[in-house]
Amino acid sequence: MIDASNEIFLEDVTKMFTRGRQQVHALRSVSLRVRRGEFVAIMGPSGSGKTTLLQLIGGLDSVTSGVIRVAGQHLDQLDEASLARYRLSSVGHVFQFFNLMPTLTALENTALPLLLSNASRKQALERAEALLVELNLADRLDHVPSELSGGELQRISMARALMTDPPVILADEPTGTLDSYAAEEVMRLLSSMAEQKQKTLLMVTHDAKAAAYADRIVRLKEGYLATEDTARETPVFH
Amino acid sequence: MKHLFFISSRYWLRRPGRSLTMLFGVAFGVALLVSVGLINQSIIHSYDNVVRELAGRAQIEVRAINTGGFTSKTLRGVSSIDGVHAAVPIIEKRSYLFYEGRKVPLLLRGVDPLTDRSVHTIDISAGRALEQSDHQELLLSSSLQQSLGVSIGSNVELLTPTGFITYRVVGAFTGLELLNAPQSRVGMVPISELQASYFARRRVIEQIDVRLEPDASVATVSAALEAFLEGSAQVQQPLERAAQVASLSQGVRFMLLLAGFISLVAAAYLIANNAFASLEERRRELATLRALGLGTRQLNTWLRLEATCIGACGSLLGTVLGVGAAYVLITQVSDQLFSLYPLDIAASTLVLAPLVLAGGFMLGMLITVLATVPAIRRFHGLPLTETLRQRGPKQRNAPVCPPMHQRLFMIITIFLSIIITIVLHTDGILVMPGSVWQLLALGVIMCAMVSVALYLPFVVASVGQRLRQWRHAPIWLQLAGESLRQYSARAGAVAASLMITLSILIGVFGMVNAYRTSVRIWVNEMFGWDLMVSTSMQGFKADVPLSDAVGGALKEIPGVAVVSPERFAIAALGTQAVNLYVYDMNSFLQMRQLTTIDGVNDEDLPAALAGQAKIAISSSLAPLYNLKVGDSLTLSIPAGERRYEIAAIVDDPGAIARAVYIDRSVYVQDWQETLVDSYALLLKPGADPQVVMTEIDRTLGERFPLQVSSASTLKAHMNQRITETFGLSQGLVLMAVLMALFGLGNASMIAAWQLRYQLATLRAIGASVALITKALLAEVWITSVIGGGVGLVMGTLLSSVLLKSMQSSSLLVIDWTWPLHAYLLVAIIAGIGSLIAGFLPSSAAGRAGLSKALRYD
Repeated sequence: MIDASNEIFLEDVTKMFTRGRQQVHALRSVSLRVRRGEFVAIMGPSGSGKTTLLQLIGGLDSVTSGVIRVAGQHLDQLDEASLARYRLSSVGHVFQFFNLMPTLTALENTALPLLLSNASRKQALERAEALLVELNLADRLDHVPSELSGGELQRISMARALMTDPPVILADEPTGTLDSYAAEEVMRLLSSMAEQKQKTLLMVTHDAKAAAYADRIVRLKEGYLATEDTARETPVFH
Repeated sequence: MKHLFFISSRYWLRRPGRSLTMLFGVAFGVALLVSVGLINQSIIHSYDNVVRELAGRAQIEVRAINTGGFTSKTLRGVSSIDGVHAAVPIIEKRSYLFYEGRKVPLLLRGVDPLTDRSVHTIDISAGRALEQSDHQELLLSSSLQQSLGVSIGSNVELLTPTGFITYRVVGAFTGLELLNAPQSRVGMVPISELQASYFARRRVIEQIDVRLEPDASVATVSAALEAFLEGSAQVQQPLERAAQVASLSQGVRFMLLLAGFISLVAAAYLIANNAFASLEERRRELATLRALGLGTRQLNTWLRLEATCIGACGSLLGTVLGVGAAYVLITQVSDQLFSLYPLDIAASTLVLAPLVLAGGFMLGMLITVLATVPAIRRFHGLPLTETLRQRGPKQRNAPVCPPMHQRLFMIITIFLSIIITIVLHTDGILVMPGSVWQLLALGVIMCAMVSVALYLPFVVASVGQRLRQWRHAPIWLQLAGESLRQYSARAGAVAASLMITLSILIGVFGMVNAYRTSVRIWVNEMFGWDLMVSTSMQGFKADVPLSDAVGGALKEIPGVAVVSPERFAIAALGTQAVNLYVYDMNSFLQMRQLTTIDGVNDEDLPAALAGQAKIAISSSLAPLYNLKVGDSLTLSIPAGERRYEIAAIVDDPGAIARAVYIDRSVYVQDWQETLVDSYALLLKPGADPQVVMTEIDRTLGERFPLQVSSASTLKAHMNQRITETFGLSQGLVLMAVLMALFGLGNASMIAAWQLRYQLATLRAIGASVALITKALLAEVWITSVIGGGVGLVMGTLLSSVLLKSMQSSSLLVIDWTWPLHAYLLVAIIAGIGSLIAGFLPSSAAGRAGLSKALRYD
């Protein structure tokens, strides 16, 4: 049943891939509801379908069957152009490997989503600068990615995800390539900013310490939604 | 969209090598095409102007097909036709002007001083015009007069068949300025002078220029003239003649344009490779942009606009370079350049034809945009989730079998190519093949090349699969097979590029080689004599013929055994021109052989032809008109028409195409002409050729500037001329091929970059650099063999069709021969290309630090 308070609504979602002559089930009848402002961590072993689930919610891929509604939009009914608009304004992506433009500075990388939405360059750069300052990157504005550390790169990726002020942030193993210190800083900033800006945050992670920041943990196993836990224990990074 | 361009600009600035390769790839391709197009346009414009200027106000030209021309009776008849306001006689002859030790070739134009003004307009810039009372008076074109420094009133000498004649320069004219290019200088003399020196004072006319009454229709008068002349002359408007003249150079122009197109194909290949590489490199960036919300359509538009910008910059640069190159070629190597074209008319000014400039520019842009389409389509064909992956999209094995429609397209086009080539080369099926047939054949072969090019990736994949599955194959061969299977698109593109480039190379070189071989055979066959005496070292038709009195003098030279006078004339067979070989059969057959195929045998030929209305015809002429021994052939002669019985059909490998052989005694009697193009001399046993040459110069040198050549000198001279004539065209083709090789090198560098991770992994698990080199060389060698092999077949077909195109503007019968030289060249080029393409990636893999190469990002 669709409830308006649910920012993310998945009903009986199945995703199948063809590998050679075999049909592989990445997700099997997954149903999930995430309330507005909620922080949900998705955990599970490799190949359990975590990233696929995030990609479906992010509008990067389409379902084989089932219903997905995010921020009031039925993704399975959107055409390619509408999906592009959805990705631009309704969700923000934080990738494991940052996916920043190697030729652009931190400021330009952050400003990119707003530039894509045809905002003026001045307005985009001003907002990007404000976000980067908020994420303690004021002295890194004019640096290109190759001059920055992993933690800094991920913070820029977060700033970019927040640039168009989307209601939903999707993070795919944001601490996967970081050391424990940088991972703690990224998680602290990510959770606090999501809470402060009232964003719905969905995060895929293998890391129990990162997952501990979430309000709720969803576990996937072989494409099935296995269990749901309540998290919010005090995480300790070593 | 504008925000995306700063991402583009950053990327292209970060990759200056790739940016410049793409930019200059387009630029050089366009430059070659534009320069060739401009030179072609300039020469056509020049032909057009020459004809237009010479025609003056003439609306119709009547030109005799026969060497003997018309009589003044014909002129009177033409003048009396309704609608003709004025008709003036013209004779045009090549000659040499001698002044203060300088020898200058010029076109001598004989006009009637009294009536010529009624049709032609020239401006007298110095001195006066020709007058009716003039005899040995001469007008020179203004620039010729100035370049020689001849003052009005001074004397110059002109070479005529009767020897040097002194003329007084009475004036200089303008209005024919375009003829004043090095090979087209003009002198104007009273027509009676040329009639005296060339036609033994007979009132022969070669051309009649007609001006119509104001209300007369060109079509009506032309029809009346054709009826009056009964096919013995060509009745044309000046512009038709220009088109006809231009059509003579069609083969050469087409060959040059083809060289331009090869370079564009090479450029397209270069661009396509770079587009694939750059999109692969930017894959995650572009995918991230899509993940951030950039629409597919926006992305498409952006990438296409990016390609358009590169194309526009490259094309603009190429157009400018092309104009510069054409200018340099026209001004600096004009002699070599215009010797390619069949007429001795040079283009003195570069014509900046807007169509060529705009066409070159647009074609460059189009090629760039089209060449990037496969890369953009491939990127869009990949799922977004895969392009976002750190390691890139999953590798999928390419299919080994193309769709049915593609197979059908290939089979049909290859079948048609073979059929149409056979038809073109079979006498009797297609009599005198027209340009439409040749274009059709070229079009079909090009389609076949495209269809084969599209098929090659499947062939490569299939070969790769077989190698991979071959149990006894060494590991390096299995690795090569795996790579071919996995990257069949890339290997197929390399094979296709090789195929297209090499087939065009074989096509052009093979055609040139066949032409060269035919000329060499002709040269060898006709060189049974010891010395050749002529006014110019040509081999056959001389610029200025000689009188038969020279023959008499030559016979008196000590050491000379036989003198054979040779004349190469034109006779009208209906409305078609055929070459007339005029020999004194007795002396001719002492030096050369004519092999009789049918009719009177070789030994009896002199007796059969002498003094009778009998001829022999070449085996190339017989099938065109379905002629047999005993049939009659009606030829136009100055006095009307005469029937000649065919006594023999002869096979003369050295014959001019479609030749009629006639005995000199019959020719002199029927054509009333005693001129000789050259004298072939057979020396007495023991006579020293050098002594005879000195004696000839001593006896005749004062009257004639004779060229006396030994067989070996003339052979060397002719071979050098052939080499010079085709040197430039071969140079252009080689330039295009070098560009294609550059493209191959570029492709292999890109392959090295693409394969760096896999090669590093192989090394990390213990493969030696030598093993990797072997695998890569095997891969490239297999690709080269596939591409080169198919190119060899397609090029052979192309060479035979190009040869037919060249044949239409050639005097010789050109027999098609296997282009073995071109095959050798192709083997060398393909060998070098494959070595470069194999060693570059392996050496890059060998040099790369393993830890660096294995890094994911």
